[in-house]
Amino acid sequence: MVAALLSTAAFAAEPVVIESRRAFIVEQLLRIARLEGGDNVGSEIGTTSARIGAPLVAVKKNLNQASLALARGDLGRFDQLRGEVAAQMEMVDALLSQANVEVALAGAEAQLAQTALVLSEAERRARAVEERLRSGAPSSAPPVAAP
Amino acid sequence: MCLLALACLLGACGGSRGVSDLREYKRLRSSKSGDDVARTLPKLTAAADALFQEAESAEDTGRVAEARHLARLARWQFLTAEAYAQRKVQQMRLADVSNRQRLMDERLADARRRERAAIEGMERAARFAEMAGHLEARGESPEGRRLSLALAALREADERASARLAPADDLQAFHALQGALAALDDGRTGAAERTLAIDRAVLHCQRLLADVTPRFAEETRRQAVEAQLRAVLAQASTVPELEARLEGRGLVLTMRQLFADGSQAVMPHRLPYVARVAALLAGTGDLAIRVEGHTDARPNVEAAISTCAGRAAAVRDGLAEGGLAPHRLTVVGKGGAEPIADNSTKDGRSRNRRIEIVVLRLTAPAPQPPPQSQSMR
Repeated sequence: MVAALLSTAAFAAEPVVIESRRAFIVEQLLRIARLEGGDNVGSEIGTTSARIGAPLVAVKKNLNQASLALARGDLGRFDQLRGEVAAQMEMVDALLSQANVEVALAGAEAQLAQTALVLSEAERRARAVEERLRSGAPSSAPPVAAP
Repeated sequence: MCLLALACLLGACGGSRGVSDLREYKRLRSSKSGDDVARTLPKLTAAADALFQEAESAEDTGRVAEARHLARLARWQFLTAEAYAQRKVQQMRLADVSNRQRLMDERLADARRRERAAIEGMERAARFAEMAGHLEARGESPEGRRLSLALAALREADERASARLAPADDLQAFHALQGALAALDDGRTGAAERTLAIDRAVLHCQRLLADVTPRFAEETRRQAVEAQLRAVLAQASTVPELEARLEGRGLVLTMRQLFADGSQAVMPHRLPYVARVAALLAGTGDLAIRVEGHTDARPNVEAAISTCAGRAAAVRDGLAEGGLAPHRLTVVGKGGAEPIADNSTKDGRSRNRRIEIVVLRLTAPAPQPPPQSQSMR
């Protein structure tokens, strides 16, 4: 779909005044392609794709309409759609940013849980050894050899 | 999340749902999440609300297409704010988790250190027991008694070091004791060689004890002082207006608004405040106390220092009258050399005009050289 839209945008041949508008479409499409290709942290664990999938469908639909508006020279409609796309992409950025923090939080919580286990074991061992020291139990360590 | 996805899918349906976008926005804003987002990110939410009002206005005046467009913008703006608000909440949770992780890491390091220390303690105890058993088995002899004394010194040094300091590095002394015992046990070793081995062991043990003893005493005192300062710090929080903190130099109590403009005498109604601080400082034993006078930036530095010194002396006198031994009290006028706030603001200047009472910590003594005498002969 992205390729088809790119093609539409590329063939919307008009004078220089529409060049920046066409560039906007191309820029957004490339950005979407990158996002769908997993060029972000969240997608690595599969959280982001689910979260931004629906918004990206909406953006592509708007870009399609914007491309058609550009092709028929309806710059007013195009600019309106451009505003909507910009707002949608801002929302996508926010969702991605949120997903990244969520990933970091999940990692930190997992590490905390792991450390809690290690700590529990370390404290148990320390208490056991200290108890042995207090009770005067012999060390299991080998005797010190003279140099 | 489902709500978000639904909202986005609604957005995908595009142009024919303008009115539903308005309804959807109202629903989002009136939900609990709407309130949370508005509280967390008021500016972004206000911008979305403004777009929504424009959309309603456009709808009221029959500009349907514009109303749909604005309603969609409002909704996306709000959803953006919602995502950022949730991110903010998660960032706070992340900071909390990171803090807990740091505390847990410290506890983990402490548990491992305690385990190592206990194992080393058992190893040392086993070595001492073995050595004592060996000496006992040899029976009474002048040489054996000297080694027993050396072993007792070594054990004492070890116990002191383990109690207050890092465990003593006693392996060298211990090996010297082992060497001496081996020399005693070996019938082929000559008398001179045995004496040399015993002298060496005694010297090592004596040195270790001489090294540990003053450090043990100093550390014991330092810990007692720290406990005193912390106790006074805790009590200081019950004195209104008094600022208290522990610094490297000691416990610092900051007092303000004790003097009228231009005066070097504590205002009469503030004397009870000074007396209360004096009573607080009674808990600091015999530690030295320095009373520092500070002021804001003044063009005449010498006059500022003189004023500060005079005011510090007035507070010192008040503390002495409150029961603190005068010999513990010194004064210094710092002038404006050590500001703690911005002198360009009225509030900053007011904060800089202060009396600091510093209960000085003990400084660590210089390491003592090991004694050369051999008193265990």
